[in-house]
Amino acid sequence: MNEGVERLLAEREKARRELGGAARVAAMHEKGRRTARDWINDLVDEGSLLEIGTFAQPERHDQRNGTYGDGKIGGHARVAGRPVTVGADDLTVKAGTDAASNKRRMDRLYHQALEFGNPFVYFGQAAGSRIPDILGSERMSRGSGLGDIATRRRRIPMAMAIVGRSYGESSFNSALSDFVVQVRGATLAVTSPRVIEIATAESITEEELGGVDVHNERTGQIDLAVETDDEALAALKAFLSYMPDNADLVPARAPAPPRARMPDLRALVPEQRRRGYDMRKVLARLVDHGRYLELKPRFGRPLITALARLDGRVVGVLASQPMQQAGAMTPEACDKATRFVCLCDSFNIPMVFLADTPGFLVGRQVEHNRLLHKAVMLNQALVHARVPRITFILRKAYGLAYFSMSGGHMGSQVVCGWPTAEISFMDPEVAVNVVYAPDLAKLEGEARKAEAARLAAELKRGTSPYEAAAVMGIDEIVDPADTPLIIAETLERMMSRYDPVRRERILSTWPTCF
Amino acid sequence: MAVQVRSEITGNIWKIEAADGASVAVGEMLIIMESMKMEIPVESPVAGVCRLAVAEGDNVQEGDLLATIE
Repeated sequence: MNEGVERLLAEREKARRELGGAARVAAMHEKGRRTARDWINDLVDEGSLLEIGTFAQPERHDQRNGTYGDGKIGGHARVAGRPVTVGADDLTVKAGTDAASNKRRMDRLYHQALEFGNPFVYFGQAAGSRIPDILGSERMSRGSGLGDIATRRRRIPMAMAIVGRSYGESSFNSALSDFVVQVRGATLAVTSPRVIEIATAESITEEELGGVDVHNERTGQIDLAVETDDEALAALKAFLSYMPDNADLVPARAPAPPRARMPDLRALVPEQRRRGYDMRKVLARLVDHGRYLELKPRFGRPLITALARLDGRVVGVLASQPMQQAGAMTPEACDKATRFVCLCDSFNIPMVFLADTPGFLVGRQVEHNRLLHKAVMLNQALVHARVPRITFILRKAYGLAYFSMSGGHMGSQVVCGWPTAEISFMDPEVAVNVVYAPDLAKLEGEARKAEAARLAAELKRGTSPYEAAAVMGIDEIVDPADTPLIIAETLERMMSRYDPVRRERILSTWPTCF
Repeated sequence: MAVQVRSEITGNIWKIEAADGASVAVGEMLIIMESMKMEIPVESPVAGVCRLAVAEGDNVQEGDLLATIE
């Protein structure tokens, strides 16, 4: 071996083993924490990493201290045999802060991923921009804002894991991603508590500011919260398993269980219209092996969004959840649905809607939370979506929420009602008091109650799926047991002639965050 | 081993379906809750003896203990 190769191998080995210093790596391991390299190694297939930018160093010569990487590492690898580009913030070098050299390294990786046409995965925990590198007009004015990733048009899937204190580019990149998982103990925010306290004197802990519970339940700015590092890795792998390598491909079909009717589905939706039930039970019986990946499970909870396989094909399911607020649509549910529709449409994933919603939630709170714009935004997304779409009205479908669940003529190729379906502009019990208010006002006490019930029953007959089927408003009233067969057959027809390259891709340019 | 049944929603206990100390099967209805004018059934996740932690009319928050199945 010549001297040049020997030196390369020695330097490379040291950079990979010691990162920003053997002591720092040991300190992280002592605390039970994974280094950037551990994260990457634990995600990718063994020995598959082709590293890019191993020898990157800080732009400023006075900052170079003999360690490599400049705080971010990454390269091209394989996950479950499929090509993936992966990067991670390296806390052992300059706390993983964002700076000129490592930004070029990450932009380069991202562009290569785009050219290769494979997903981009990132482990984020950057403390923010490197100071004082970024201070002053000379340096600030050279910047390019959020960087090249902000120009993405969902050509390749992008997934992030927030695994530490994330305040810089890693936070911005999470908002630009298709999937974000956050580990308990990690923080996701724009500004750190320290800077907040200096600027406004507000005192807040990292957990209160941007901990998993905050994003999982209040902001919806992550797709999944997990308790452990291993769960974060499993979540990334699960998400990738539902994605195609890039937007020019349809997700690979997996071996499927034999097609069969599912008689269990007949008993899951109660006929009593006031009785709730857990839609996850319907979902579990409908999809292959009962397995699905639910996104934002505790945000916008009246609506479930989940990736699953049906007849071996990846589908995106949007299902009302009658257990939560009766399944009534809310501004948060619209945000969640819109992001999910954009994801499915961008990556050639057909959508299945399961509707049981009494309508949009009404009242001051939702109106002031921008219900109008959020509801219209979701409906706009639906009319622009071009992936195959199938809708089942399981029970209630009222008002604009009917269309928001892709009922009527919103673009679904097949719209079916279960025998329990009821469709109208407004719930009969509410409509009675609106339509017949003057008549009812003339009556009192029990007489008024009885007349209201009689009129509601009359209106209720008008909500039957047979009325909708009579005028071809829905395609068919179906036996719930046939639902998996109808989906499988429809997808087979639609996907056999589906061309991911030549179709319109309007939603791929919509924002990744709402 | 005892399994705790916790509420997935915030609402009222409308009806108790399984008596305290009764033997219940998997999927048997224990309680019907009421929230947003909807009745939300709570089923037993396992077979065992039901020990109720709530009474009809109680207001419960998400995550509150409803029953223990022994």
